Amino acid sequence: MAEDRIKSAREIAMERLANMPALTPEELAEQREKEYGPRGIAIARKYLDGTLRSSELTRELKHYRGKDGEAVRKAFVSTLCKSIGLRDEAKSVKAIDGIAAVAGKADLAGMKQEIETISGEFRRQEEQRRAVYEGLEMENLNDLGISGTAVRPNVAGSEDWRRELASIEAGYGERIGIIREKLSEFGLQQA
Amino acid sequence: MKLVDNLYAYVWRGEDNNCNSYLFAGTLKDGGHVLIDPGHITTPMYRQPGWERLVQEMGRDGLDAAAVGLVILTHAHTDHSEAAGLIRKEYGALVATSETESRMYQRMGGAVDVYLEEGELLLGQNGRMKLEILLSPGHSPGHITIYWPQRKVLITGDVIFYQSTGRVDLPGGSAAALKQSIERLSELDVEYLLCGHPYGHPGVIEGKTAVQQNFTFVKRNILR
Repeated sequence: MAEDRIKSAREIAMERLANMPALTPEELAEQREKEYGPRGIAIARKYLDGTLRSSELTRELKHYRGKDGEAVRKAFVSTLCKSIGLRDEAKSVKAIDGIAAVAGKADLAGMKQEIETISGEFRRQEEQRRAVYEGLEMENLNDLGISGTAVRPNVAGSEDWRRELASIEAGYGERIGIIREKLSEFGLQQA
Repeated sequence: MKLVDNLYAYVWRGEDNNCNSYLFAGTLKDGGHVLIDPGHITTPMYRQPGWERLVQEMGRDGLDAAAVGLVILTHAHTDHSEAAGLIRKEYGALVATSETESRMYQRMGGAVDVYLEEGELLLGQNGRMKLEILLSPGHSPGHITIYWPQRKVLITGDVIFYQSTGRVDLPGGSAAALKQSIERLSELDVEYLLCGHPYGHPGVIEGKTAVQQNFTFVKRNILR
């Protein structure tokens, strides 16, 4: 009798699948990002570490079509945007060049210039403030009886300096954030 | 044990590996001590108390460990540096080493307050004690040695031992750099060669002739 027959594991699984509701568009998008996002991240990282040249980026991204391609592109651009910061100007400029390579005719020279300006201002302010803190730390060391040409305080280890540095970075963080936001829009464009 | 003036030598006498420590007593303005290479807290294999023994030996010399105000590390290897963090935390001592060496030390979780570069280290009121910091890489990339010209004392860490040298196979080690460092140190006028380990000998070599003989032996038989 049919009802007494033992169903195979496959049959049970297929029945369960048939009864499951279809994925929503949001769930499909999430799944697509989980599957294809890492590929975009990998392409960005290979480019940043020099394994891929900027001339190869369009070809790499074109391996992925349609919505899958969009997920890859979005993750690629997002990873490059995240690598734009105050400390490594060369890396920031390289990231912008990477985005420019896949952004069609977009002219991003102005953004590169802005990054260079911001990084330069940050560096100068950090150096000036660091010199002040080093002077104060040297005075503290002198008070203890430690001095000489061999002595240089490790300002980076000081809690006060860390707070000061965070405050300086915050001041420039907003400007960097605006650049990142503008650039991230290139991740949403059609490939 | 007192060696000369306010310099004390603490030779490691345990079975396990640990370093010799050296201390300049009452050198800082508030009477604080300067301790070089405090060694292990507990030795790695046989779990012998390293720091505890050093504290006891210092106590026998009438020196309070809590008065250590500055710890100088010749290099970051744990057999020289492990107790530094504890001294810093318990007694508020500052920790000093070269910036190159501090990178390894900080990766190990240590904190460095002062970088020492090649040059003069002045301690005490009006810099009454003058030491020279010499960059001496080879055993480790940022290894420093400390020379006290007034008393012709050279504290060498793991650069050179009695008829032997520090190993060069650990990360950042370089035989060529060690050879250069030893050759440079052999030119100094030294009457007390204070080594980092008691390998086959306490590691405290006294007398200009004995020091020179040690350098000659090492240069002839090991550095060729």
